[in-house]
Amino acid sequence: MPVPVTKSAMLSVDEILRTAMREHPEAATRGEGRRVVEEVRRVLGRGPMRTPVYDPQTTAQLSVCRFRCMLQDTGYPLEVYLPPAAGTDDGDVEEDGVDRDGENMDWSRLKERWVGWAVEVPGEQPWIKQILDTTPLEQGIAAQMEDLDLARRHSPSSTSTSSPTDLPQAVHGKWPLPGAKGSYAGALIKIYDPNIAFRPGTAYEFIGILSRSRLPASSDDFLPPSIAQDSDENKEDVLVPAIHVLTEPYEVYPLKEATLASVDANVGVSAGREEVIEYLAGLLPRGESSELDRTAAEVLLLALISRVTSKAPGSVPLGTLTLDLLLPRGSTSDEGAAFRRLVAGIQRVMPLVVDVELSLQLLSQHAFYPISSHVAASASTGDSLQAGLLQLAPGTAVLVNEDTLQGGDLQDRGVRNLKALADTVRTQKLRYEFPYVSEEFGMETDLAFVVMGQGKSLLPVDLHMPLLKPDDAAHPGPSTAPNYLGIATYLVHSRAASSKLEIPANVAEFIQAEFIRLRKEGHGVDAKGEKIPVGEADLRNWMRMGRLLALMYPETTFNQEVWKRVLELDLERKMRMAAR
Amino acid sequence: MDGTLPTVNIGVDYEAELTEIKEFLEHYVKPARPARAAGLPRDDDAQAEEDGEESDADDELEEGLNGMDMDDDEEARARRPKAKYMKMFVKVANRQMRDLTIDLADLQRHDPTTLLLPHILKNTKRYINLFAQAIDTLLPVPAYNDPNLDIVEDVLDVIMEQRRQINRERGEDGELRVNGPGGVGDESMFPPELMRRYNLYFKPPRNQQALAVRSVRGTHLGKLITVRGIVTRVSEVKPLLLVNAYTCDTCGNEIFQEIASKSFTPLAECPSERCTIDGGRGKLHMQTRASRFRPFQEVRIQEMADQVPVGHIPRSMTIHLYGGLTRTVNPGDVINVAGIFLPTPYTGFRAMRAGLLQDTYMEAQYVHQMKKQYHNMELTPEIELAIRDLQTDHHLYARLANSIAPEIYGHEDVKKALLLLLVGGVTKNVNDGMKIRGDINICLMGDPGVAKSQLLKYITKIAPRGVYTTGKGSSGVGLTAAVMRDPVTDEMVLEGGALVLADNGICCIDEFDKMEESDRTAIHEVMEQQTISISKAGITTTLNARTSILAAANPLYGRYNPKVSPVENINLPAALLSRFDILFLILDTPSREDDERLAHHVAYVHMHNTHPTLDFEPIEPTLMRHYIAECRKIRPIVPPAMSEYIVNSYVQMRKQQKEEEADEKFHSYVSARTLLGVLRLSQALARLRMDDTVGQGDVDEALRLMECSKASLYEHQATRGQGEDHTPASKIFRIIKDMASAPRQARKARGGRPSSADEFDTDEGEEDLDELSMIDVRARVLAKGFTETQLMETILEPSYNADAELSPLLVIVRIDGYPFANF
Repeated sequence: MPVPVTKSAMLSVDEILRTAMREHPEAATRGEGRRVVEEVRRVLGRGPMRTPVYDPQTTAQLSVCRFRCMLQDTGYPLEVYLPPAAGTDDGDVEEDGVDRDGENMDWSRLKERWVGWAVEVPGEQPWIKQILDTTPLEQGIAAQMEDLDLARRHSPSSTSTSSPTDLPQAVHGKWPLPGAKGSYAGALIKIYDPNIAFRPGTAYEFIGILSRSRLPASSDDFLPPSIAQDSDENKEDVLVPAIHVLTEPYEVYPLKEATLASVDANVGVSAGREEVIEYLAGLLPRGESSELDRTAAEVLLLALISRVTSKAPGSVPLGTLTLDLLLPRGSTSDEGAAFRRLVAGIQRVMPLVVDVELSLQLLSQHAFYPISSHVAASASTGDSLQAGLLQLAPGTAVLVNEDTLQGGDLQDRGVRNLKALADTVRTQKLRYEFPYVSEEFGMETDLAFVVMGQGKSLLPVDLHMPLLKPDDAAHPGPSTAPNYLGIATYLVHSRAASSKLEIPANVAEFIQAEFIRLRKEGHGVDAKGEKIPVGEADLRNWMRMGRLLALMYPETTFNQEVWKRVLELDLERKMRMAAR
Repeated sequence: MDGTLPTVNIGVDYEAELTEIKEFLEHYVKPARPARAAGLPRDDDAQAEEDGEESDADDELEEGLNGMDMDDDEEARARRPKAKYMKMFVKVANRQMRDLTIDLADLQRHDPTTLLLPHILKNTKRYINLFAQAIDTLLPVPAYNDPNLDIVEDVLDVIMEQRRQINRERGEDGELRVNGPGGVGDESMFPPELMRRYNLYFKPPRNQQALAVRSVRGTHLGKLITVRGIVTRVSEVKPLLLVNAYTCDTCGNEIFQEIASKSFTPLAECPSERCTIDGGRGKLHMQTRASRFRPFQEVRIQEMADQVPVGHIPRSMTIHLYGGLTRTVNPGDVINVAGIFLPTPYTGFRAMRAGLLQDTYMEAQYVHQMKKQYHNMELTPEIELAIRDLQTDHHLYARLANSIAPEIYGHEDVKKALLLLLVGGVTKNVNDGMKIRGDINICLMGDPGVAKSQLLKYITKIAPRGVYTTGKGSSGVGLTAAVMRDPVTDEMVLEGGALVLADNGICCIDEFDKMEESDRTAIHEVMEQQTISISKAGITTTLNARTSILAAANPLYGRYNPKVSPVENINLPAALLSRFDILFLILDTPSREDDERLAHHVAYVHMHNTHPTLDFEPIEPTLMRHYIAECRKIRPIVPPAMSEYIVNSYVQMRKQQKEEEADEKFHSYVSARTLLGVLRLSQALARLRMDDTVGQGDVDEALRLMECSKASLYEHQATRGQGEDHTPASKIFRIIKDMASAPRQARKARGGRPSSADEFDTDEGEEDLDELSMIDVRARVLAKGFTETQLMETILEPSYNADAELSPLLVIVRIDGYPFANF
């Protein structure tokens, strides 16, 4: 039976399978080899959506799986391997094709493949996992796996010590979020195309055959002798999951509308704008007489659908809006409850959410940006890129709680971390630290930042939005459960629309005229009857807000109506700022 | 290392090749200087030139090493063999030389048509062996008897001598035959590897292009390639076993085992004929003394930033250095390393687990250290061409200036001054140890949001050594240097601050006005003497800080107040101010035109996702850096006529200052430092033209810039008319301000009277500005001879009230509930 060749650049599935099986640590027997090939053909024939999802606990070795992941480290050199001699049939394991001592090997047969380290997408929410993982036939199983997954994530410390599927210590540092150790899903991705290239921090879905392989690590010679000897034994043993990719990879995040629609026909129904704002307002503290904070919710909505559409020279990202939600001062009683409520609420409607509770301990102990372990030299890590907290898939919402930060000394690492965070907020570019490479070196990111705290954030955010002072009365939740999926679809939809945004030339002229007028007249009149001055920063913010606001109108055009609404929103915001 | 020998069948007759190699080694004569030009293929000329020089230099060095009798002895010289490599072999044989480098360019020159060179490049490992074989046969007998050569017999010599002796004693009865056909006494029984007292390297032909790490592919396996990168790690140098020697406790023979890979299984039983035949199972003991080791070092190189495609992360590669190449590189070195790209199969346990994976590494043959200039500035031919091109540009001065932060509109004169700051004047060392600084210091003062910081950041970016710091964030110690106790060694160490780090560069200090007064004085020394003296913790030393200072500051009260004099606005002590060659005032005066342009710009960026195209072509920062580096090499002199001209101008300026002083409207100080400033600026301008004398035009331009910076002071004042800075209103304001900043004294003056009963919130964060009683203020103001009406005017003046910094006035208003009722 002929097996389809996936694409000219990649090897044929047959050849990949043969190689994968040869390299598999527990060599397969002749019969088993045939069975594997049959199985692979059967699964691939069913189409990608029906391929079982990779789960470190349950997926069997040498079976086909799909892994939705973020590429964490793409800096390994190409791997040179010896493909089994052609002509051996159906992925059979050659008994002794070549001499293992390498004495008489024909080096011209050596080939190269791309290797990278991938981790499950950080901050991926259960609801989206369920949608993307579910194969139409296996709904039940998927749900089960989901529970497993959740249980694992919630108690990382308890499982990390005992679970046999935990990853070895050498790759503990390659998971961006703190505290997981080896309890995350990660695998080496091997692609049989030496010309392929990926950026770190991008999210793909790979379909391939699961095996185990050694980490590409540097020699022990670089380590001080004492450590080298200690780690010798471990080093030999470090085997990690490896996926030999069989088909073309598919980019998952930022989530496309089509992805949601194709999975489940029911998902496609989007909620309305009002519904979304009401939902978001429900997450924020209510004002007096249980009034929903719609203004703040609208601005929050803008921040959530923001994305980097392009970068002007001078590394200023366009299309982003970073937001600082200012809690009323002195509301210490709820101990971060407001933040947690916001996080929980946003997690239900955004696919990728990472919450960061800033603290001196976090800043001084966990890396915020990826560091090549030359720098963070330690025995166990070998020679690879350690992940940083901000190495996240595009489209991730990063919610930062600043109130957890206490006063104290910030050490060198903390300063660097904070600088990396501030730079990423400002320029959407995350520093990657390599030895002898300048500090400017980094990768583009596309993250939505929302900071919450009682004081003005120390991060260079675009907008400071004061929230209403909460009254103490308990609020009953909405009588009907919110249409989470609908809201999520709305967000995905609006986010994706940003590429269609138009700013007609006449509107640009109108804005210019408006700016000159406002400069003269002031943005409005404040409580004391004085005019509010307008500066360059205001104009930039209005343009940012306007771009995003325009996406919610059906014609996705920045028009005068949008401009007026922006001015209204911002005036309200400024009034609140002044009233603080 | 035979295990890694790539045996690619390329249809080569190795026997024939070996003969050719021998022929080359025996007969290659380095072309003599005069004959060379004619005898060489044309395209090779430049390269040959370079080669020739280098070899000659080598030669001289060798000559020096060769001892007294050879020097200047033409006869001896004539008798010596001419062949380059044969000469080297003599030295190898005489143990004077360990590293034999075969320059492949020589091979090409010897026979331009040879196929040997491409073969070597393709299958280098094999040819190293072939060359070694050839050299083994060509090596002369060591000149043991030459009294000038102090040949120390090593272990191998001793062992061989012993063998020969045994051989002579026992005759040729064959009983002692060991180890194959050779038998005792036959030197061939020693593995050739053991007998080689040299390390053989190939130096690639110079035209070979240096690759990036990521472009090294599987197709390069076994080939001689050159890779460029930065060394990130070096391992310790370890001995690598080449030949392991044993002695058998039964038959007493030495047994040698050649080691080809990194790990090996030691022999346990004696393989000698006698032991095998007797079945004696002689036990072998390792003999470290007779084994041959080779120094070995592992190095990692990483791609240079410019070799990494956008959006990718740098890759690195392992390099193995052997023999004399070890310890030639350090972390941070930028090197071109030529070597053989090789795979190593995993061995032992790892191979069983990893299947047929291969690690790859490069076995270095030749290391070329790049010159370390300013931040790895390599002058490529393209850039050199571009610099020549620039020199012909008549508007170069304006074009270069505009290319500084091209996205910032306007500020032409500021940018010109910054350009001159980058170029700098000439530092002069007077014989008596005095030094006159050539670095230009500039201060930018202006309203918030006029892109001062952007200008500073841009300068740090293009300056060869730029350090950016903010006044708020740095104390005097952080700027200069600190004495610290090293946590590891517990020793006192000197740690350089920003100014020391910017030695020979530019130190940009933002928020200069926010610095503590005491910290700012630390800069005084740097700005004129260009040194930093430290006398702390028993360490007294002077560090160099030959740096230009570019400072940015806000005027007093954040925004420029046209109502007070520039001197008051600037608010920096004269001692510091005079150390700046130029001070610029950049103000944000809203105007319809500017606003429109700004709005247009912002809207344009959002519409088109890019900046509007500039109306000129900015010069790339890299090119600019190179051009400036070129300029800095020139040391222009001031011809007598020019110095006279400058002196005259200076006298003029002094006179003018005196007049202004008489009129009580002077703004800046003209001192001897101003004269030097004009000199420095003129020199920088001459440098920019790449001229080594200062011309009239340069001086005029320097004076114009000086004038400009002053004019920027006048200009803003002119809007209010002369003498406004001393209106009663501003004087009254100052009195009130002084009272506000000394609230305690003010309260005391009130004689314990309870402060106004009215309770109100003073603005948070401004606790130091206490409320003042209107009565106290009035008393003070009237005592100074002002009228009540003038006081009223001052308070009602809206521009004072608008500024939050001036809250004392707002406070006054609120104290009395209904404003000004009691006036």
